[in-house]
Amino acid sequence: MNRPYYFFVLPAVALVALMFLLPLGWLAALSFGLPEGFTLEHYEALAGSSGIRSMLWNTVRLVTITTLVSLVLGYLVAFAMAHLGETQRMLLTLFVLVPFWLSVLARALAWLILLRHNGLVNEALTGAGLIDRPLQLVRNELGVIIGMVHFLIPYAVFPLFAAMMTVDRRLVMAARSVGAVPWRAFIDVYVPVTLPAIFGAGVLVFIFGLGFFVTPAILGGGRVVMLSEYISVSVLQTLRWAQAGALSMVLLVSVIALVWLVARAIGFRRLTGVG
Amino acid sequence: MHRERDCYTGRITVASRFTDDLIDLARTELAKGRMDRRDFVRLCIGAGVAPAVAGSGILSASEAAAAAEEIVLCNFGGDAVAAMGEAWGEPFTADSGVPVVVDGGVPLAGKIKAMVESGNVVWDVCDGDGFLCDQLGKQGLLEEVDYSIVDKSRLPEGWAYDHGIANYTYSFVLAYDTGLFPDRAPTLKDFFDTETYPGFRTMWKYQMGAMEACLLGDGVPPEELYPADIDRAIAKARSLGDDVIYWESGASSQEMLMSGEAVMGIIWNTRASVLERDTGGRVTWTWDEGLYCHSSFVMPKGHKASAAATNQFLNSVLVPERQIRLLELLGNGPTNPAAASMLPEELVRIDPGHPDNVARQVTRSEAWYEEHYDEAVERWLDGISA
Repeated sequence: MNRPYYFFVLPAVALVALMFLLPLGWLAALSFGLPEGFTLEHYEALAGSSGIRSMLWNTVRLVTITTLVSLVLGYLVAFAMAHLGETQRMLLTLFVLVPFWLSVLARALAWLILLRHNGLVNEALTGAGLIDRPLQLVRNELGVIIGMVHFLIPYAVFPLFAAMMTVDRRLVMAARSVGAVPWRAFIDVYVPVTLPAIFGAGVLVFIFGLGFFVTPAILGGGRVVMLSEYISVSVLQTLRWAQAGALSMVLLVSVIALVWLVARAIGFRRLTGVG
Repeated sequence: MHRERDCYTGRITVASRFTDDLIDLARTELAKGRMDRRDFVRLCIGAGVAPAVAGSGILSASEAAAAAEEIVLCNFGGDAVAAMGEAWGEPFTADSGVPVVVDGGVPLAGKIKAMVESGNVVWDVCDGDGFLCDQLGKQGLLEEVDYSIVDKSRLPEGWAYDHGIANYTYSFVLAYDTGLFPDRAPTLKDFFDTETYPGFRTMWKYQMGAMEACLLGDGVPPEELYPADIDRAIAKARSLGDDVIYWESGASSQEMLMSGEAVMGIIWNTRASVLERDTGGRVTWTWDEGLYCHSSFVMPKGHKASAAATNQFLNSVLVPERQIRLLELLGNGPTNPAAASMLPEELVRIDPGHPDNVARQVTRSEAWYEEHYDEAVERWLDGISA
C-alpha cells in the first residue's frame, strides 16, 4: 500500500549512497591498508602515538565539559520556555534560533572580537577599574568551550523543551500536595521525568561537539587541536591518508555506538523527538 | 605554500563587471564548441550585449584553436589570484594567445594527490613549496619539466627541479610593534624574553618558520639549524606559555599585529610589508634571523593543457620584469637572479631574495623538509597543543 512512496525516497538515498557512503567505504578500506593487503597497523599506530592519544583525550575532555555546561544552561532556557506565557516563549525561541542560524565562522570571530585581551569585554572591565590586567578569555581552552557551548546550546534546548512540554503538570502538583517544597518537587519529580531527554540531548550535543573544527581553530589560539582538525591536517598536509582514515573510523564508530546506546536506553523515537 | 582558508575562485578575464565575465566565458564556451551559436546569441541578448560585438573575433579559426587550450593555474587565493594573473597570466596570453585562468583553490599536497589519483586533473600548474617538487615528484604525482623549453640559466643552481621550477621567494620574518621597540629591531632572543618585553607573540601554527625561530632563539647557530631538533624547538615554544597565539592564516597574523593584540610575530614578509604600510610604520619588520624560502610551480600528472604550452608558461614565469611585477603587487620576490640589479630602490627593501636581505637571513633546507616535513608538522602540532 505504501509501496509507491518508497520510490520518492530513492533519489535522496541514491545521492547519499553515491556521494557519502561510497567515499566513506573507500576511507575505511584505506585505513585497513586495502587494496594492497589487510593490516591493522594504522590502528595500532593510533594507540601507540602519545601525540594522538593526548589529542583524543583533549577532544573527549573538552567535548564533555562543553556538553555538561550546554545541558545545564540549555535546561534552564528550556524550562523557562516551557513555563512562560506564549509571547515570552516566542521571544525566547527567537533568541535561541537567531544565533543558531548564524554561520559558525561569524560567531567564532565575533567571540574573538568580544573576548580577546584588547577586546570589548576586557576594555570595559579595565576601563571600569574592575580588573588591572586583561583576563585570558579566549585563545585558549576557555575560549573554545565558550564558543562551542554557544553553538551547541540550541541542540540541548529543543529536545529538552519538547520533552518538558509533554510533562504532565499534575505530577508536580501531586508532589506539592503531599508536602514537597517547590525545589523538592522539581528534583524528585520533574527532573526524573525529563531524564531521558537530558540523556538524549547530552548525546546529541556530545556527537556534534566531537566534529568541531572551526571553533577550536579560531578560538583556541592554535594550541587546542581537536580531532577534526587533526584529520584535516593528515589528509591535506602530511598526506597520511591511512591515519586520517583510521581516525575517521574511530570517530564514526564512537558516534554510532553512542547513538545505539541511546536508542537502547530511551528509544530512538524519543531521541529524535518523534512522537 | 600559503595556507589561507579563504579559497575563492577568481577568473582573470575582463571581469570588471559580471556581464563582461559572463560574455567572456560564453565566448570561450562557444569557441570550444560546448555552447551552440543560438544559445550564445540568446545569452548576449539576455545580458544586454549586442551579439555582433561580443561575437567579434570568435569567428576566426586561429583564435578558436588557441582558445581550445587554456592553462589553469592554482594558487592559495586572496590577493595572489589577481596578482599572478596580472604579473604572469596576462603577458603570457598576450604572447601566446593561450588564456591563463587563476584559481585560488589552495593546492595543498593532499588535493594534488587526490586529483591525480582520481584521474580528473583540473589544474595545470600548482603553487607549492620548493621541496614539494621532489617530494611529490618521487611519488609519481607530477610531470617532469621540459628543460628544452624552460631556460635553466634563468634559475639559481638547484632551483630548477626535475618536477618543478622555483617561481617566487618569500620569508618568515620577525615583525614587531615599534611601540615596544622604538630604537632598534628585536632579536629572536627578545622574542622569547617575555619578562622584559611583555605581550603576545604569534607564530605559524603549522611548524614552518616557527620551529626555526625557536631554535635560533634558543641559541642554535644558523649553520647548525638543519638537521633540526624538533623536540628542542617544541620545548622552546612551550616556554612561552600563554604568551603565544598561533596564527592559522596569513590574514589572522596580520590582524593580530594590526589590532595590537600581538606585539611581535614570526609572519610572512608579504604580510609584514602590508602591515607597515597600513599602520603607517607602527608595525615593521627585520630581515635579521628571517627564514628565506622559495616556492615553486609544479604540474600535476595528467593535467589537461599541452606539455608544450605549460612549459612555455613556466619559462615565461622566469622573465625578470614579470617577477618584479609580482614583487610589486604581492611582495613575493623574483627567483631569477637577473632581477636583482633591475630593482628600483623601494623594492629592494621588500624583496626577500635580494642579496642584501638574503645575507641577513637563514635559508630553509629543502632537503630536510622533503624528508621530514610530514613528521615535523605532526610532532609540532602534538607538541604545542599537548
